[in-house]
Amino acid sequence: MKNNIILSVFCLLFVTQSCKKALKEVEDYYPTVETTKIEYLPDNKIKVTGKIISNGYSDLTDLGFCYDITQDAKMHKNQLSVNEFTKEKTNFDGETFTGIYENFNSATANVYFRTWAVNQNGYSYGNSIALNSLVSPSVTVPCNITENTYNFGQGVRTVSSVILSLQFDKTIIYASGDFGSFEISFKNPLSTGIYKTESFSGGNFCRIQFTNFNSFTINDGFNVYVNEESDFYSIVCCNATYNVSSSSTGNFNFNIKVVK
Amino acid sequence: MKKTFNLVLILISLFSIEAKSQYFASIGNFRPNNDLRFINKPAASFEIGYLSKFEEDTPFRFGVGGQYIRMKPRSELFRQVGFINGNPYELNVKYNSNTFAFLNFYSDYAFVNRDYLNCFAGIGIGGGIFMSEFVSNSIYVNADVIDSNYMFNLKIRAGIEYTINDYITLQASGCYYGFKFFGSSRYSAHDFAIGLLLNFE
Repeated sequence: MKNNIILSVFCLLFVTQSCKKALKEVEDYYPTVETTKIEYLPDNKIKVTGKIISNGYSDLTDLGFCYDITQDAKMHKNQLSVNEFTKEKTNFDGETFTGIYENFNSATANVYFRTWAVNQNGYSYGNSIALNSLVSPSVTVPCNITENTYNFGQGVRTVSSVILSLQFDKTIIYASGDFGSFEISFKNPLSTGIYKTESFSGGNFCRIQFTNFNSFTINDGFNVYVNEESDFYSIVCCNATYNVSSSSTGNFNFNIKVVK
Repeated sequence: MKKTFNLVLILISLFSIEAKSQYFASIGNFRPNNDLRFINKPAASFEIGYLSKFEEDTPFRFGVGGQYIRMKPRSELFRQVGFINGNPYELNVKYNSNTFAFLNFYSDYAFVNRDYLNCFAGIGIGGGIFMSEFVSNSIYVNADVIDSNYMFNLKIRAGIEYTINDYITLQASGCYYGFKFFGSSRYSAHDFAIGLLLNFE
């Protein structure tokens, strides 16, 4: 009799406890990720790094990044899926993952990046990081030109007026002094980096054009150094050339400070 | 469908030829496991049915019961995903309810078989329907859906019964459920139930 009662208690325990324990909160079923950093890379690339805090209740099935002009970017907006990573590793708590946006081009002043992750129960997002929160590493300028001066073969001149114009897809700086004026166009977004001059107006890089005489354009392939600070840009061109005519060239350099 | 109905009638007829029988009604605390638990709260389960009675020389009994369970969701919204060309997008789902309705055919064995006390273990097999009412919301789809799926179920149970008098027996039992949906997933659950059995000749 006693053995039978013990057996019946055992049976009760078996049928009610032989299962995987449910999690207390619904949120615990979802994966947890965070966006750790975003970085500028050369050639208009943005590198985004995320970290997996937890897989949640089930294995991750997909993982990636997104960005938008609002802080709550949805995963389908500019989606970058890190599929290779997901396929190779099915359990990667605590690991970091990265993605690179190539030819990054934002028509707006700021966008927000964030990570997302999907497991068999659902999805979740990491925190958002604003692009304009980045402080890019400064570039070293290999020449020493006095700030707010320019010289296109007529001697050093002082820049008396600088205007920054943010347009739909480009940033234009209008500079003028006591002897001539010029404009510098950059494809957005303008940030710290070394840009190459390009005379073709549809180019991706930097175009410098004199606007007062015969609209000479700086020849292709010269470096323009941009250092972005919190409230201004410092833009320097050490030594570029332009064609006055088919047989004659001129040299040009400048160092201007543009308030944002 | 007609075949299933005929089978049920035959089984009920077989049970009815037993000399002593019981009608029963039980109420349980149904607790889904694993992925079923992710969406659903524990819920009350209701069952009514018919059982033959354990006899002194026959520790086996058979029976049939119909069970109904209506579960409420654990969260206002579930963050799920849809896919377009393999790329995921947000698909937020709001469940109104998830309902089981199924029939169990029981076979129990009493390993303690006294006049007033029985301890038993048994299995129940059967099938039924699972119905889910939900609203899914995404940039691509907004749909109000009632989805239903047929399923098989297996119950493994154990319990104790105490007979108060010639007419009334009280029952307490624990049960493990395995569900297999047609063409898709397996789920499990367990419950604790108490029941009232009405004895008659």
